Amino acid sequence: MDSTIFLFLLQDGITSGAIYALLGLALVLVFAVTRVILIPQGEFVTFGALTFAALSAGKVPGTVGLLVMMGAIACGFELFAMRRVFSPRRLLRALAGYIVLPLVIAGSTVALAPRRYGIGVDVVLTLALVAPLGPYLYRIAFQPMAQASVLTLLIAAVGAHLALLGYSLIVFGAEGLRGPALTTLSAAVGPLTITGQSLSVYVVTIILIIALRIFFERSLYGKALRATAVNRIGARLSGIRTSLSGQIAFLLAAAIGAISGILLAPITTTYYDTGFLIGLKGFIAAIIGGLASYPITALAALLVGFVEAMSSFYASNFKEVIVFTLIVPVLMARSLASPAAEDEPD
Amino acid sequence: MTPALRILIFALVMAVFPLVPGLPRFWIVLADNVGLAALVAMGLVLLTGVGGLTSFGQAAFCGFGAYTTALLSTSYGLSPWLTLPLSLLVSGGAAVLLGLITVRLSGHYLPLGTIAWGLSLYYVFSKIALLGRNDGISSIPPLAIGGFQLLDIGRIYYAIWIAVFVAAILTLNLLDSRTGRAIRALRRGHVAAEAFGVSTARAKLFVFIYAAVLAGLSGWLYAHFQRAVNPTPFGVDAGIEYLFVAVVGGAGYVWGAVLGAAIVIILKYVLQDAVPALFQTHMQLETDVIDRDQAVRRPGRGQ
Repeated sequence: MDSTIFLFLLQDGITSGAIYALLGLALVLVFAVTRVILIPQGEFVTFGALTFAALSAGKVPGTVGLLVMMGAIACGFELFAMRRVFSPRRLLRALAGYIVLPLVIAGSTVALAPRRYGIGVDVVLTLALVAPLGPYLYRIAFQPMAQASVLTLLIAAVGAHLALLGYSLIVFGAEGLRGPALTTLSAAVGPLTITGQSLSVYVVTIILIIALRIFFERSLYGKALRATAVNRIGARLSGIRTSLSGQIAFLLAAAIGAISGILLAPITTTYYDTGFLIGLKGFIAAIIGGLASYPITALAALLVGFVEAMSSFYASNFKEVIVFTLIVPVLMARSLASPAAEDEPD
Repeated sequence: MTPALRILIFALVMAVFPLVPGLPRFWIVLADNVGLAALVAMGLVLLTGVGGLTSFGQAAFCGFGAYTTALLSTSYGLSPWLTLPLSLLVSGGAAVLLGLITVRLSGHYLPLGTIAWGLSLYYVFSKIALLGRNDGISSIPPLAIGGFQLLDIGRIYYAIWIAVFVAAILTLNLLDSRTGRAIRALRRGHVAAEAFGVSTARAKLFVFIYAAVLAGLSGWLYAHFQRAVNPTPFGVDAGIEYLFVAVVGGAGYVWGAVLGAAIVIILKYVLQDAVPALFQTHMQLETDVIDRDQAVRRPGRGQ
C-alpha cells in the first residue's frame, strides 16, 4: 500500500467514522437518560435517507403514513393513561402533539413534495417527518415500561426495530435509493479529492457535537436530561418529568438519525435495511465508550470507520466480520472491569 | 396424571398426527418446522429462561451444525449418521470458544455481545468459498436407515420429533440434577450461588454449550430436511426469532419451547395469508418477505 491509497482509506474512514460518531453519541444519550439500548436507531437513519431521496425525486415518502399512524397510536396510549385522572390540559397537549402536528407535517409534505423547491426544503421536511417518530416510539414502546430492567428494555428495542424494519420494507420496497449531494463542490488536495459531501459530513458532525454540548451545559432541558440520567427518582423529586426527558432524548436520537441519513444518502445506496448495520457500528463505538462517555464514543467511532476502511482494502469479504469482532475484546474488558454490574434484579 | 404419563400421551398424539387421513401435507411441513424451532428454543429456555443469559446468537449454532453436515456429507460423502456427532461437536466446540469470551460478559453487555458475534458469523458463513458463499451448499443427501430414505416430509417428521422428545426429557432431567440446580441458581444473582459452592462461571459455560448443542442438532436435522443450506436462516434475524419463540412459550418452561414454536410458526403462516389482504397495494412486497422466509423454510425437494 502506498501513501496515496492510505490517504484515500483514511479519508473514507473518517467520513464514515464521523457518521458513526453521531449515531454513537445518540445511543449514549438515549441510554443515559432512559436506559434503552436503542437498536432502532438504524431505522431512523434509513428513514432519513429514504425520505430525503424520495422527496428530492418529487415523491411523497412513505414515512408520511408512519408519522400519522404512530402519532395516532401514541395518542391512544396517552388517552388510555388518562382514563382515571382526566386533565383537559393534558388532553389538549396530546391532541396537539400526536394528532395535529403529524397531520400538519404530512399535509405540508403532500403539498410541497411534487413542487420540488430544492434541497433546503427537502432537508427540513425530512427532519420534520423523521424526528417526531422518536418521541412517538418512546411513548408507545418504552414509556409504559420505563421502570423495567435494561434487558427487558433491550428486548422491547429489538421488537421496535423489527416492526420499523417491516414497515420500511412495505413502504420503501426492496429497491435501494440514492439521494442528491448537499453540494457538488470538490477540491483537490495533493492526490486526494475532497468532495463537498464529505466536508459537509465533517462540518455537520462537529456542529452537532458542539450544539449538543451547549444544550447539555446551558439549557434547562439539557440539565433536566442530565439529571434524569444521573438519578431518575431524584430528578422526579426535583420536579423533572422523566417521561418528558425520555421523549426529548428520543427526539434528539431520531433527529440525529435523520441527519445521518441525509448525509449518507448521496454517499451510499440505501436499502430498507441499510440502517441497521450502520446503527450497529455506531453501537460498537458507544460500547467502547461504555455507553457513558461522549468523547471516547466519538474517538471510537473514528476508529471503527478507519478499521472498516482498512479491512475493506485488505480483506473486503471479511469487512463486516472484522468490524463486528472488534466489539468482543472491548466487551470482555468492560465486563471484567465492572463485575459488580452482574447482579441485576429481575 | 403423572408428568411421565402426560409426556407419553403427547408423544402418542404427535406420533399419529401425520397419519390422520386427509391431513394437508403442508401441515406436516409446519409441524416439522415447529419441531426444528422447538429444539433451538429449548436450549434458550435453559439459557435465558432458567439461567438468565440472553442470547440473540443461537441461530449461528444451528449454522455450525447444518454447515458441518452439509460439507461432510456432500464433499466428503460421509453418512449423515456419522456427521451427527461431528455436527454436535462442532457447534459445542464453537460454543466453548464463544462461551469463554461471552458468558463472562455481564448484564446487558451479554446480549449485545451475542448480537455482535451473531452478525460476524453470518458474514463468515456467507463469505467462505468452501461453504458456497451466499449460495450455500445444496444436494445434501437425505437421512436413511438402511435402504429406507427419510425423503418424505412425513418421514423426517419422526426424526425431528423423536429428537424433540429426547431433548425435552434430557433437559427436564438435567434441571432436576445437581448441575440443574446450579443453573437455576444463576438467575437470582451470583453471591448466594457461590456461597453454596456453585462455580457460576462453569455453570454458565455449561448451559451455554448445552443450548448450542441443541441448536446444532436442530441445524443438522434442518440440513437433511431442507437438503440445502445457505447463510440466511443462521443470521441475527433468525436468532432474534428463536428468542422470541422461547419468550412466547414462557421462558422458564421446557415444554414452553414447543408451545412457543407452534404459536410463532403457525401465526407466521396465518399472517402471511392475512397481511397481504390488508396491504393489497403492496402485495408484491409482502410476498417478497414471505418468499425470503419460505425459500429457506419450506423444502423444495424431497416431497
